[in-house]
Amino acid sequence: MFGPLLKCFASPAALRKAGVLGMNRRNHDYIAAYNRRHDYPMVDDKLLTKELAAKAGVPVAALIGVIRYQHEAKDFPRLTEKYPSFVIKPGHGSGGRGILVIKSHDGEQFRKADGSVIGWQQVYSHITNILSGLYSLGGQTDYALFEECISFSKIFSDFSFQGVPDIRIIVFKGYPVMAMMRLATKRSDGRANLHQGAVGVGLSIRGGRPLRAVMLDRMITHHPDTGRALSELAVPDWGRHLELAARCAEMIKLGYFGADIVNDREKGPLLLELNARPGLGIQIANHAGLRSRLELIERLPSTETRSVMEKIAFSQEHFS
Amino acid sequence: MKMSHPKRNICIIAGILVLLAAAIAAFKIGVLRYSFSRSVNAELWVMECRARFTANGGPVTAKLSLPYEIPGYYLVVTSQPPGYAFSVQERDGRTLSVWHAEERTGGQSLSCQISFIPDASARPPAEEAPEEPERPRWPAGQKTLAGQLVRSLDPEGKRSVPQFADALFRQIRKGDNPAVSVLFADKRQGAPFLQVVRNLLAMKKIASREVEGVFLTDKRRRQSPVTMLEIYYDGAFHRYDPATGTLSTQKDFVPLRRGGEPLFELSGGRQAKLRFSALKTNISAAGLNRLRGSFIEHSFLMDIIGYELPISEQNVFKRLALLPLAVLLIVIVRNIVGLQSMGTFMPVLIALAFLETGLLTGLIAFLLILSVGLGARALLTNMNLLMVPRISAVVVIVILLMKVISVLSYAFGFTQGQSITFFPLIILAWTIERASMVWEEDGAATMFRQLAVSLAACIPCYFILNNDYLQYLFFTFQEFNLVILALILLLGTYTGYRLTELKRFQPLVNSCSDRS
Repeated sequence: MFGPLLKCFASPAALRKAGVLGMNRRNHDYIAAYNRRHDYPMVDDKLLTKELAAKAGVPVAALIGVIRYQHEAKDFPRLTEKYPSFVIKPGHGSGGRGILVIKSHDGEQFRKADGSVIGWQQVYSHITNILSGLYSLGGQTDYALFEECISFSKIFSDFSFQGVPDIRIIVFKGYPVMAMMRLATKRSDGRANLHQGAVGVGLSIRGGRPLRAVMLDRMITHHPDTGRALSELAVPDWGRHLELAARCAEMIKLGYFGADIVNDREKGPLLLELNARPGLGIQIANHAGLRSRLELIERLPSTETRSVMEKIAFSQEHFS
Repeated sequence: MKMSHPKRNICIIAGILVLLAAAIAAFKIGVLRYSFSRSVNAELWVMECRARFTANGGPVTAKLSLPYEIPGYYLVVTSQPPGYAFSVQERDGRTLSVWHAEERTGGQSLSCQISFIPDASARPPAEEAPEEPERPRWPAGQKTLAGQLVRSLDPEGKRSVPQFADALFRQIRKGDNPAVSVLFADKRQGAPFLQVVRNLLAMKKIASREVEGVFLTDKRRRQSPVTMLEIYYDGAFHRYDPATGTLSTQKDFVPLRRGGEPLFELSGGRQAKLRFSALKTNISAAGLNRLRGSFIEHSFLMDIIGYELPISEQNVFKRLALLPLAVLLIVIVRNIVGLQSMGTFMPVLIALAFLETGLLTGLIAFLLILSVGLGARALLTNMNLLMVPRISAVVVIVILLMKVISVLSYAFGFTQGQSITFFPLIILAWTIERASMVWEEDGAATMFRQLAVSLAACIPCYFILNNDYLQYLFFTFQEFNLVILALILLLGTYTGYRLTELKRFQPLVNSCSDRS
């Protein structure tokens, strides 16, 4: 009677054998052990991340400006008048919440990524919501960040529904350990978060070639909205992606984090944001466990100091 | 770079916490005589002994034999007679209450209260087998008669002790045996009567003794002590009522004195009269524990461990006493099972709210207010309000809703609706805000799933918080919270897979193609 039900469950021993990293172990042995609470603002505060990235020479999306106070909010067109398209983000947002992408505008009418047009008033109230802390962690008051819009490579446009497809690379002690491309779907409402229904395509660390695809923890082969075969996905400049992710480990003090990277048509890979608590769904998209990879790196002698490029070479050699 | 997380240290700390809790609990049970069992109404007997006499004008010393140990009870004696020094003394295996005064004249009244405190751990002292009785001495000419009587009662010598005792009493009551008339001629009752019976028993080498005591019966006030006969057989003394000659089965007889010992000794006074009355009171288990503790001689340590707040403050803590257990449940649901509820401790808070309303009423009212509140929240979202005013508006709407429910339930004759009061209000408003946020961000499906998990976790929390026995246990033995703390600390080091992850990562198990 319970047979079919039990089949849906793996035994803990089998998961251990497959090297799967569980939430408790991720929190206890990696996030709590390698990431100091004190260093979290480096990734949670987008402006600070941008400044650090600029210092370290890590390419990021260009900053247009910041609105911190309510009385400045109504003057936002002055910031954006020189830019045909822009993105408004909450400074302390997470999971793609509160991000408004404006593709084109005339200062009164604003066209969103999905093609719909909104008025000045709606943009204004979106900024107000950001300032009041609606999208920030813990609900504290926030600032609104204005960035230049990324014109993502045409090669991905068939693979994503509206939103920007990004590449998440998990970095541990400076080694890129696992990667996936996140593609927005209708279900995820144009956002690139797996738990909201985005597609995750596991990418091999060695060459950035697609391994498996997963949506809401289930295997798929084609994008549900565009119908493209996900196995045809190819990431150009894969080496630069890995380098960018590994360089982030030099600029922030976190030992375990996820770097979200977008591929701009002209500027190449740009750092979108960093995440101190990257999700575990990436394992399903890669059909591989994180734990065995992390433990391999933990076992390396700590006296050995390697350069960024050496670390990337090590990862490419060991992680298919 | 890696920070050390000494799991071993946490295990040691948890071990210390558990040992500490065990030590405190053992102290409460062993020394303060607290009890795990919580019979709603424990019976507490208080027997009052009152001695009246006339003092001769000089020093007075009065000694009253106190009850022997009674199975299932232990005794606490208190007495505060004006002008007397009171003490409880042990002598020859007996306990005596002793009063002494240097100079007293005229009518005196001494009393002491003996509390019989139910005690599961108290064991009756093992009774030693008595020595074989000496050959009785009979007045001249009676020895033969007695011998004849004994032989006639058991001609073949095959009767057991109870059968023989039965036959003897029956013969005495019938009175048609000439030997009985002679032997008991002027000894029809009291101590002389018992002495003859004991002599007859002794001829068959049956040990017996006289016992004086009182009945622990609520209705018998001002009773005099009663003398009974105890006959030894089958490894124990059996009590007989000499007036009827039958085995007494009444359990509430309290023996005060046995054998030849005097019940009441008085020097410096005369015309002593003893009166006993027993009073039964029902007492709550917690009250019983307090009582048990209060009779123990206090030391500094005991004052700290057994420290009690005034009753009114205690009631607040009773509610809080079980919160750690509910919190532990949440830890298990989230970190071991891996279910995501809406807000970490919201299930506990909702359960607390339900304590005031009752589970069913609470659930119905909660779902009703939540659905209307979510509707109101959706309307407010369309108005593009700022966050704080929007939440505040939701709170106001929830207050109005509660008012409406209360009025309606009153109008329809339900009184339960009115119990939705101040405390649940905050929780409801906050839940509505939270639920609508999740709805907006992650969709209705996520919201309903989180709500369902929250309610599912809330119901066992409610039953934990509402359990009288657990409440008694955790309120009386608050050190058990240290055990909960230890468990939570240990769960904090649990790095194994969550139950839901076994399902989530199941696709990874088959033919995992990773070289490393």
